[in-house]
Amino acid sequence: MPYIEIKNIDKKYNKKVIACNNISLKIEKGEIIALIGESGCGKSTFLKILSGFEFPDKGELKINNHFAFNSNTYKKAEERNISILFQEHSLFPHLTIKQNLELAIKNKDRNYYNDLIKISSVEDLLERYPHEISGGQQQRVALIRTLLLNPDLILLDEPFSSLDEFTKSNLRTYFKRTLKENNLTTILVTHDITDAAEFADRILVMQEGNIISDSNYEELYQNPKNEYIGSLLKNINILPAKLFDLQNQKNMGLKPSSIDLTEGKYQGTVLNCIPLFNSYKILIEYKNNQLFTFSEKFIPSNDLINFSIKLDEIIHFE
Amino acid sequence: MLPIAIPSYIMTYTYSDFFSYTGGFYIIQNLFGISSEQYIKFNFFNEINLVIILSLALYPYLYIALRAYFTSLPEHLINTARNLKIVNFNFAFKILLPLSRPAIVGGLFLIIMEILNEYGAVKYFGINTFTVGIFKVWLGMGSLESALNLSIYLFLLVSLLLFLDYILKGNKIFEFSRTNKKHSVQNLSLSSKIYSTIFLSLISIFAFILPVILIIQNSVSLSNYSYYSEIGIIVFNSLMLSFFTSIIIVFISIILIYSNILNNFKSTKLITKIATSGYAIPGAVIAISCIVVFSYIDKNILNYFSILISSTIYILIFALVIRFIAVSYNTINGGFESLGSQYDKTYRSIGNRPLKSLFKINLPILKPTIISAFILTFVDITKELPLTLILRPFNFDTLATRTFDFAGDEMLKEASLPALIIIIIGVIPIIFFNKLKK
Repeated sequence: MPYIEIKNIDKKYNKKVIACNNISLKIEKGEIIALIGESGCGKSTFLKILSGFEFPDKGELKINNHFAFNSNTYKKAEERNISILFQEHSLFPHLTIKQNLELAIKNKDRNYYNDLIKISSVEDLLERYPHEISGGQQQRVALIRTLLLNPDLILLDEPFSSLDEFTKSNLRTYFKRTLKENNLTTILVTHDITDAAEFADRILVMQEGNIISDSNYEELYQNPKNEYIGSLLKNINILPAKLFDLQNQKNMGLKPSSIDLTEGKYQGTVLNCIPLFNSYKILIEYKNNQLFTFSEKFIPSNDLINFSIKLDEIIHFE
Repeated sequence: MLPIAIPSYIMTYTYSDFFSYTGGFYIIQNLFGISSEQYIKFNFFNEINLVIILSLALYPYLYIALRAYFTSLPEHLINTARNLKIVNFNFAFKILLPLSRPAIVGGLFLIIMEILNEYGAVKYFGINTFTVGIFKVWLGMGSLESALNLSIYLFLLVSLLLFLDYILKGNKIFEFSRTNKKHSVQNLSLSSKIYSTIFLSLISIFAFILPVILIIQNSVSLSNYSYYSEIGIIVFNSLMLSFFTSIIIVFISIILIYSNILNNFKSTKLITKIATSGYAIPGAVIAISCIVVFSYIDKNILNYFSILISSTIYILIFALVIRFIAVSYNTINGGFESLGSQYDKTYRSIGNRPLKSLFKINLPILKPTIISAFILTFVDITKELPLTLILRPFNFDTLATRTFDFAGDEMLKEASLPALIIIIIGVIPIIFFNKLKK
């Protein structure tokens, strides 16, 4: 029996706009799920429904064999043992870090609190106010406060999106390690594939209120079902099929590794050559379309370049 | 929000009439068959009742400040509290109220200023405050020196309050990004719905509905033609005074704001700060200061040209400008801030002079804000009492001063019509702003 069971959740706004369409999902204890999709696809609404800040039109949520809501039961947000962490505003600005953390402590948890503070290395921050620490530190403190609640389910609503790349990467590692060590079941909502790839065991893709894919990152990258998923992945080229004289398709996916720069019948212009750690990212303009690939050699901008594509590696979208 | 349209002195006179021996309180008892010997007596003239009346009249200042603050709180913060199982009273006392300290301090500060400025209500209750003292020594004893002394003490008290306000609000912990998103509505339980409806209805009834009904009833019960012609002149005086002073105030506000936008000089900022600090100074203090300054100018400068400007309408207008320029300045400045400087800079970057940009770009875009500033100032001037009472020229009455005079002579029925007109004028901005919001 799964630890969390979500069945047939429906939600419409103004009886027209579909936010969640018959969503069903099973999650095992300790599993970390990422829910990815474009803005407005319904992922935040789904999270709000699970946390109790939004009423579903229909559906049920069962955690550890107890209903949080179904057609007969409805527990309010404060009655569910589900904890949500937002992108910002998670710490109360008028309270010190210590006071913010103490909001989540019950007397019996004192030892757990002391241990957690020690291992999380936030001891030095306790007497400060939220505005006196960085965004990354604020989110770390917010996560510790969430852990103190010992929730059945943790919901993370784009918790990294307001942070810089360096902090984001550190925090993802820190969050994942902490959640795994505590065996906490988690759903992360994000629009950034890197968050999902580095953080989650399973990635769900949401489009217009529907979950259209449920797999791990490797499967998703190897076989993106449609153009929408391809565009979310960001690290593949989406190009009109007619560019390469292919019939019966509108757009196709092309991985950077499927482009060979050594020779070929197609000729494009190098728009930019961006140095990376041990390679270069090459942006090429070909018949008024842009594509990118990687090269070990530097190629100057405006140079003409011949390339070929591996036809057997082309991704045919559904 | 509507009680803000009723000046506290009018609220006082209305309830005084209601609880007088021939007033509504005893008529209602009579209707229930209680004989005059068995009437439940109510002693209206004590300090607690004055506190209640002032609370009913002035709570909107805090309500408006808090409402704006609450609605700007990010919903995530509220949801986080629910997630931590901090709800109901716990939420109010642990999170909401401590978090709203700047708004509470700001609203309370405005209320304290209004009470320090208050004359009509406290005089009617026979309570000696600084403002009443200034009136007594100036109008009663003719001692300008004593009035000036009292004014200085009152000014020092206000300065101390301003300093406290600055200290209490100027804390960084309350600086966080606000939202203008609508909060999702939470359904109250049936009992909470009933209690809150009863509480809010009682507040509305005692702070607005009942006083207005009583004033309307008194206003229509008079049929004296000479009275109506007198009121006609007073309405004209009030409207003209408020209209022209408001135009001057809006004009000066625009000049001050645009000068600050064009020149980032410390001196311009300092002048603006001083020019807009009048709202914190009680009307009586401004009036006495104006008398001192203009008497000196009359005696030492204008006397040589056989001109005297003390006791003319110009001094009254000057003092009203000092007192109310902050109302218009803050409103229009808010408009300029939210507009930003990009339109102005773009227009000037293609070779147009700043003055042309002001008239062609900024002012047309900010028309609703300027109208709002004009209306707010107009209403405040119409309601103003202590300053006008001291500085009005001989035989010049406004709606506020005539209401005060009638009430002082125990002619509460006669005081009702000018009071009603003040309330109607006061309701206009509330309707205007509600329409603007929609």
